[in-house]
Amino acid sequence: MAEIPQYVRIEIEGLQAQRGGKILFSQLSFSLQSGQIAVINGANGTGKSTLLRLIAGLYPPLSGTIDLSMATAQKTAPALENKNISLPRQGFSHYLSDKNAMKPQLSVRDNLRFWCRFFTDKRLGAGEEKKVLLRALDKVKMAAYADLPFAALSTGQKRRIGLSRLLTGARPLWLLDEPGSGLDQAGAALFSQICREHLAAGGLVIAATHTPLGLPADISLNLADYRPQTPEGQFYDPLQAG
Amino acid sequence: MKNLFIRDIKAGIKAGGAIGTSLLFFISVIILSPFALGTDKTLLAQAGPGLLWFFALLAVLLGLDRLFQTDKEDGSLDIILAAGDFSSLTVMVLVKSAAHWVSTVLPLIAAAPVLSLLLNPAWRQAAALTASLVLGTPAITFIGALGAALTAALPRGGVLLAVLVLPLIIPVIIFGTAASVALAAGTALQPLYFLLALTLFFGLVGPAAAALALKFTAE
Repeated sequence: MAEIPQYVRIEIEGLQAQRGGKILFSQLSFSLQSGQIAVINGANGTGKSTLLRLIAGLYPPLSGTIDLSMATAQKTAPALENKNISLPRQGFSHYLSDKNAMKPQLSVRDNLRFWCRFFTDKRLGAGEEKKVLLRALDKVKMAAYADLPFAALSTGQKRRIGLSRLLTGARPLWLLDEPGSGLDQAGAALFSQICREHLAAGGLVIAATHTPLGLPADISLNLADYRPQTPEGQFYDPLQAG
Repeated sequence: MKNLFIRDIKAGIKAGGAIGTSLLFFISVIILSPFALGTDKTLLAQAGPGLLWFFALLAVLLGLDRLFQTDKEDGSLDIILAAGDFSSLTVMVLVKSAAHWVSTVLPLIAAAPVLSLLLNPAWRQAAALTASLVLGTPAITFIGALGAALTAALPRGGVLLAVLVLPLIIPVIIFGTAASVALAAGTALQPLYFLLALTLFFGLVGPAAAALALKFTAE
């Protein structure tokens, strides 16, 4: 599990995005490094999910850059300058949308096994794989449900399994879209703990949420602040933009 | 990728949907066709290969619109798209098409010789038809994958998918039927080679085009 590089950094510079011909946000810049969590706020429709999908690499931004880098050896800032290694976007992040990415007709174990193999480049041994799955299920207190079909679970239980997918393969950056939706208090507490452990292991978290995560945010952004101020500024004309 | 193949086959079997429906549809329309065409033995023998090819095409298209739609709905398509570049997505489509072919089309092909005997009691024809289906139906799946990728974001995209891909499937139908007849008669094998060429061609073009289409629909 602990294959996260020691020091990872994501730098977002002058990001602008549109959806359905409307500029959602522009000039969005922030940077985040290992062990830090950014919480994205903003009313419905301000582009929280769009921002996460942009970072996940599902589509390109209108303008701006998203740079990922890592330093393997030293954690100190001066050494980092020399040791910056650019990282490809693929294989960098876990993206958790409002959906859980599980096949309803397959068992919880089969679903997680699929993602475990999907996220792990080198095939794990059967015993090791079992351990990873059991550990992931244990973290969300769902080990007893491993053999049930995913469809048989309740909404909150489904979300717990959806969250446990993040633990089936190591990725430095977690992009979480409303991670707590449907979770009960115990589930939310479990999830806070999972995030805390991820951060402690050198991971990064960017979460779009209305409900508090139970963690102190290193960066807190409200996307409404990056909205074009004038009504004319909100329109995106693909022809003019060229 | 073997992983994805296994998941899709498992999901396909457990859903109870695709396999059962396509196979039942295929069997019932073939059984029904003598009622429409009459019981003239020579007519049925002549129409046999064409009918079976046509109904196989419809049966394959029947569930194909769900190829990417289910992944889109449950959110796994986003993760697969985010994890891969163009070439790995092409392989992904190829694998998903292969899984669809094995789980949905292979049962049809297994039933085809028996159904062929219903229309025309000649073993040679039944064997020839089955061989042509084995070689030709992958092309239908690959072309259909492109349609499925284009319509993945649409509700009830099944009809649109059929309209989109049918023009591309015309050559497959022509050479599929011709190959089946030629094989049975023991004449020239050119139609069979053409059929094989079509499958190989669309095996390359279909997944690549579908991967591009999926990239676009991610937005």
